[in-house]
Amino acid sequence: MVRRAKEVGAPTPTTGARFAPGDRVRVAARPVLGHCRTPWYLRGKTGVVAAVHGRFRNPELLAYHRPGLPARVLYKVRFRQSDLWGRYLGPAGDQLEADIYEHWLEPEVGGAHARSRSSSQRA
Amino acid sequence: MHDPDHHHNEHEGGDGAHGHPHGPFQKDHDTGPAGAYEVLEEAIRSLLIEKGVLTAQEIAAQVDLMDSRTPALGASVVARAWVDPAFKRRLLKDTRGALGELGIDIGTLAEFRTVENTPKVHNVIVCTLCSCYPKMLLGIPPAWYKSLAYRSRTVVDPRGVLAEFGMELGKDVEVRVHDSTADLRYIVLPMRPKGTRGWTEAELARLVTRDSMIGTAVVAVPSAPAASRKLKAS
Repeated sequence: MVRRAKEVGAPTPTTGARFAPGDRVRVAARPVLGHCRTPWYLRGKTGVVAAVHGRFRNPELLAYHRPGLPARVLYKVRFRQSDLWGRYLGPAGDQLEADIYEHWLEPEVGGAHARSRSSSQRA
Repeated sequence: MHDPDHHHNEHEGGDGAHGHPHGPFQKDHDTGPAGAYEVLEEAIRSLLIEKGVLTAQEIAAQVDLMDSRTPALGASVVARAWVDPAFKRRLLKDTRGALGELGIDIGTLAEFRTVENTPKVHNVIVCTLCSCYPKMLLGIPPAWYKSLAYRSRTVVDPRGVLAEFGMELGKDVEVRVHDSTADLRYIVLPMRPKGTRGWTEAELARLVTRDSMIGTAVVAVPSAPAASRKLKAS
């Protein structure tokens, strides 16, 4: 068996998850240096938690040969395409899903006005 | 590939004069002078072997494992889901467990999820950040899957990309893009085509294409069904 730096195995049970399916969340609009699994085009965008995947070791640390602990809760977040792109060409029902770690998600409290305030909050 | 000037015949047979096993390494292609990435890969591989992190046999075993994974494996899973509704439910709920029932080990590098196409929802898989792909089910991804064009355009204009693959989806169908950003790999469970009632699992599996499991195609029955199926089966 090839030894690997990163083996997720079965994710540990998700207790203490900050968000639940149906919660509205905003992806933090902060920059990051180094490896990160949160795409730029989703930063600052609002979506809905579609599923809680479990806890996984933090890839931002694993990338630098650190243990990646504490493990972070990973969510499937569903976005409306029309919320992502100013000029989305398809119908309003089209969606995009991405897997986002908890420390990149903030509760979406209000409308667009909450953006500047919530982006400074850290989990 | 070893530098021909690096004389190994002096200690042929493994644990040699400089105290480490070289083991067999067989290049698949002889492509002439090595490029920068090839040199880099060889340097890292040699170091990993020399430092005892990996053996050449382990690397060869991993290459063999990946070679054993082809879209036919994913197709067999799709066909089983089409003929066995209980299996389909388990596949959608617990992909790892359902694949285990079929003796398919997807390893521990990533979790798997199956997303189901329906008359209302069409799923398509992409990885914008790199090229994450359900290799343990579909094998090595096609070059276009890793191209910057596919990775960037699929999220912003999925219908445009799908049209270039020959798919025109109605406005009443929701297109759902899955960006494999993290620890999960996605496979699409395509819709079973009409006109396949009574087909065997093996016959159905032959219809399922790689692209249909990425979401850039639908599964279709070839236009001359009976004759060509008989031919393929023989």
